[in-house]
This record gives sequence, structure tokens and C-alpha cells, in this order.
Amino acid sequence: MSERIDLPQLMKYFEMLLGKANIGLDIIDSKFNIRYIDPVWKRVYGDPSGKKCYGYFMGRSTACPHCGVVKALRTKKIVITHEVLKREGNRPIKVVTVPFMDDKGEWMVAELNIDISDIRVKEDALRESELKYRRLFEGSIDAIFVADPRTSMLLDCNPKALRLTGYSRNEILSMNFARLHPRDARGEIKKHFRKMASGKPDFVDSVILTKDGRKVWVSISGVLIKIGDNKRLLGIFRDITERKKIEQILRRDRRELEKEVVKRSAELLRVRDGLNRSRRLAEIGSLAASVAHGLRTPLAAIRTAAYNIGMKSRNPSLKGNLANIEKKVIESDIIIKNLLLYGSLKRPQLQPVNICGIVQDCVDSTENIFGKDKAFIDLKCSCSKDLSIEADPIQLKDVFYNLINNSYESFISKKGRIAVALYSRKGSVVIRIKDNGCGIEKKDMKRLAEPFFSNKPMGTGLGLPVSKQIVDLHGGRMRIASVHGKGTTVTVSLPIQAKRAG
Amino acid sequence: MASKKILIVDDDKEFMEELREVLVNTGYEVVAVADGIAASKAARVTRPDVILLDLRMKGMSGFEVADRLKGFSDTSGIPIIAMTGFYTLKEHAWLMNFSGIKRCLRKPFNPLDVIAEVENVLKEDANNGNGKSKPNGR
Repeated sequence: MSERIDLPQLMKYFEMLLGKANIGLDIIDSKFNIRYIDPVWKRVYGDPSGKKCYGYFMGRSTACPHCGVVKALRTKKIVITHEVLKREGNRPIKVVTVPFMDDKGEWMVAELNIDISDIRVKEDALRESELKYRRLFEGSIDAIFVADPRTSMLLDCNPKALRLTGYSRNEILSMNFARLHPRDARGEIKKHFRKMASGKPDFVDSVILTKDGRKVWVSISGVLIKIGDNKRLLGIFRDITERKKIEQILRRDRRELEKEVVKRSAELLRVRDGLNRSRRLAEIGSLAASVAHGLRTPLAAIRTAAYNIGMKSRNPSLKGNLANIEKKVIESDIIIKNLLLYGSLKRPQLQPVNICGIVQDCVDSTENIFGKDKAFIDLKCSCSKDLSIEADPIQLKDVFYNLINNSYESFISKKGRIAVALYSRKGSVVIRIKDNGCGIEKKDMKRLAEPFFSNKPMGTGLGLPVSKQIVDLHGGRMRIASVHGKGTTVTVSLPIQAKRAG
Repeated sequence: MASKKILIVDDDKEFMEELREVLVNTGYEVVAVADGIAASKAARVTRPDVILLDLRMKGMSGFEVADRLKGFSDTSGIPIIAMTGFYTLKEHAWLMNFSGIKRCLRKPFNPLDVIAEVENVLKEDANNGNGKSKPNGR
């Protein structure tokens, strides 16, 4: 083009562009004189003639420190600085200082002043926001870890994380996330990590291993977030040691509760069984009473009639028969007495009882009754002579009388031997009465259990069934071993602490 | 001396027959009734020296009879020997006391025992100077 460039018009166009772009242009020479200022600025700052740039723009009396003009003229390179225009309410600008040589060969600079208020605001907002979130991150009472979902490496963590794990920041930042956990937990943690890394937020309760080898229960929640172009896995670890402790206590309490329930249920069943037994005993008692009475009336007539026959008749041969009738009436009466006793057996009236003393009393009494010639009898007490058990002393005396009696009565022709032994074993006291009398035949052994069976009804005392009942009511056990012709051994064991046998 | 009179009260007829035979052979005069209502009437009419009283009877029990007789002045002094297969002086003390029964024989007793008991009672009576109660027109 050979047209002459219309310079003033070009300048106007140029200045308009500058104004629209909010860029200020000024030209400063090496002596800080303002050689050009764009019209917008001119309007704001006024006439620049005769003013130095530091005075005109900055209101200073000397050059600005770090002056971009000086540096650009010296280095002959573009310098970028940031200034704050005090005269325009501290408007922030970026100054691009371009050194050039004019056509006269003088070096001067053109300064492009770009407004960066917007950017500043954004930068400030960002900084504030960043500060806010940093505070949350730093100050969180939960440990926060940031990991790279691709490499599984830990990229960042907050101070709580350091306190929780005991590692230093450097150590954390060179770790694979799995190393935070003990070996046996890693498999599961990796599964969850993968899930989180795929974009699904996840929760898991797990264990971490501190630097000094302690295991700490934590609740982990993880989520994938995008920071810039990067995907990051954010993991929040909450210490749930307290919660786990409470869970343990609750579990233990529940176990204890269940145990108590089982115990109480068993107790209730025992009580119910006891009540059933008591009721049965009561039923037997009333049946026994009515039967007993019913039988006694006719027996009275029989006995009296036999007596009268005896009085009337002088026939000696009748004596035997009448004697038999009398004997059998008495026998029947004793059976009735045993039946009544069996049915009216009351629950033992428990009190502390010196068992050795009681057995000794029974031994002495029976020896007196039967006489020293009938049998040798001795008592060996292997347990403490002061041993005390919870029992009904009267009922026990009846039992031992009965058993020792039976032994005495088993010696038919010879002088027999009765060995009574007392010893304690596993919470019970055992009384063993062993004789070398006539023993019990096998066929009769089974029937010993029958309540009213007895082949020695003439014996004083209560009879075996009643003795067995008393031992049962005390929660004890009675065992009978016998060899016909050789002897019998009766073993009674009684609990030292009463068992509520019902 | 006129023989002593014994009133037997028992609802077991056969037993009463036998007991009557025992007592008659021993030398006593015997009146026998089989129930409680007849017993109070008989007691007032015949005025026995001793009453042998069965306690458990159908209808009126021996206790009731004893209680009734206590209420009549002409019978209240007659000693009663209770007979029973069921009650005992020890276990049923309050019942016995309440009815004024002081002596009791347990069935089936030896007939000699009842004779002995009757003799004891009569001796006691004689020692206390209790004659037969006289009607006093009340």
C-alpha cells in the first residue's frame, strides 16, 4: 500500500482499543519524564507535563524501589511487575514494561498497565477458600488421608493423621496406603479401596497399625474427588476405640445376661419340679392317711376278736393260731405306720448338723439296745470331726438308726461285725454302713425300691423306703450293695451345702 | 357294789361286738351305740362311768359328741377315753383340748390296754371323789 498512514486517526483508534481493553499506556524516558499518556489516564490523573512518572502515578518524590523502568532500560528486556495504584483506591495492576529505542536513538519504555482487579478478587477469594478448607483439613479431629487411586500412594494427610499413626509426614508421604494396616486387614482394605477408587463412596470398620505396633480400631469413610485434572481418594479415619470398647462391654453384658437367663430358667424348672414333688408327696400323704385309717378300724376288730376267742377257748391248739393273728395284726399296723410316715414326710428342717456326732450317737444307741454281744460295731471318721452339714438332725437320726438296725437284725446266728465309715468327698459327706450279715437276695434287691416293701416289718424304726425318701429330700443318694449270705453295704452320701431337691 | 357302766360309741358294729365281749367278760356293764346322736341320748339316759368314744364316725364325729356332752351338766363329768386309728393326742392336741378329751387309745390296740385304761380312769375318778353327777333340775 502506498497510501499515507493517517497517523492521528490511527492513534485515536489505538487509544479507543486500549480504553475498551482497560489497558493503560504510558511512555516513560530514562529520566522518568512522561512522554505519552493515554487519554483515559490523562483524564484521571491530569496533565503530565513536567511531572515525573513516580510523582504523577505514585505520588512519590523519589523513584519507586524495584522500578520496572530502570530494570527494563538496563536489561533491555521486558519486565513485568505488579503495582497498586494508591491514587485509584489501591487498584491492582500488572505492568508490562517494554524497552524500545525511538527513531532518534533514545531508549525509553512503553508501559502497558493491565487491570487485574478481577483476577485479584478471584485470587483473594480462592486464597480465602483455600485457607478455610485448609483449616478444616488441618484442624479436623478425624484423620484425613489423600491417596492417589492409581498408584495407591499416600499424597497428603492432616496433623491428626500423624498423631493417630505416629508416623512423620515424610514417612506417610512415601507410603502405600495398605501399609497403614496390619497384614491380616490388608486384603479387606484393598477391596474397599478399589471400590472407592471406582467412584463409589464406601464405609468400613477396620484396624490400623501405628508406627509403634499398636492396633487401633478405626471407622473409614472414603470418597473419590477431583482436584483439578486429578482424581484423588479422600479417606477419613475416625478412631472408634471407645466405641469398640463399649461394643465389647455390651456383648459381654449380653452374654452374662443370657447366662443369667439360662440359670434362672434352670432354677425355675427346679422350683417347678420341687413343687410337683411336694404336691405328689402331699397327695400320697392324704391317700396314705385315709388308707391307713381305713385299715386300722377293721384291724381293731380282728385283734379284739382274736383276744376274745382266746379268752373263751381253753383249747391249747388254738393258741398258735391266735398268736399268729395277733402277730400279723401288729405287723399290719407297722406297715400302716410306715405308710403314714412315708406319706407325711416333711421337707427337711435344715440346720447346721455335726454329722460325725449324729452317726456316733446312733452307733452308741443301737449298741446299747442290742447289746455288745450281738455284734461288733465301730465308727471311723476320716473327715474333720467338726464337719458340719446342712440337714434335718431328727430325720437323719431316723435314717441311721434304721440302717444300723437293719444290720443288727441281719445277724441270725453268729456275732456279726458292723463297720461304719465317714468321709468327705467333693462337696458331700459319705456314710458307709457295712455288715457281714445274711445279706439280701438278688430277687429282693429290686423290690427294695418299692415304697412299702419290707421283709422285716417287725424291725423298729422306719424302714428302708422312708430312709431313702429322707436321703432324697436332702438332695443326697443312697446305694445298697449286697451279697446273699455274705453281707450288705449301704452307702449314703449327703451334700454339705443343702441342695434344694424339692 | 354295782358294776361300773361303760358306754361304747363306735360305728364299726363288729368291733363294738368284740369290745363289748371283752368288757363284759372283765365284769363291766356295757351299753353300745353306733352313732353320735344316739350317743348323747344314751349318755344322758344311762349315765355311764366311762365312755369309750370312737372319734371318726359318719355323721356326728366323736369330737362333736364329746363337746356336746361337756355342755350338759349331767354328762360333763363323765370321763371319756377316745379310740382312733387316725388322731393322736400329740398331733391333734388342740382338737382334743377343745373337746375336753384327755385320754386316747390308738387302734388297733391290745384289748388288755383298754381294760387297763378303763381301770385307771375309774380309780382316778374314785380318788377325786366324783360320784355320778346328780341331776340338778336345771
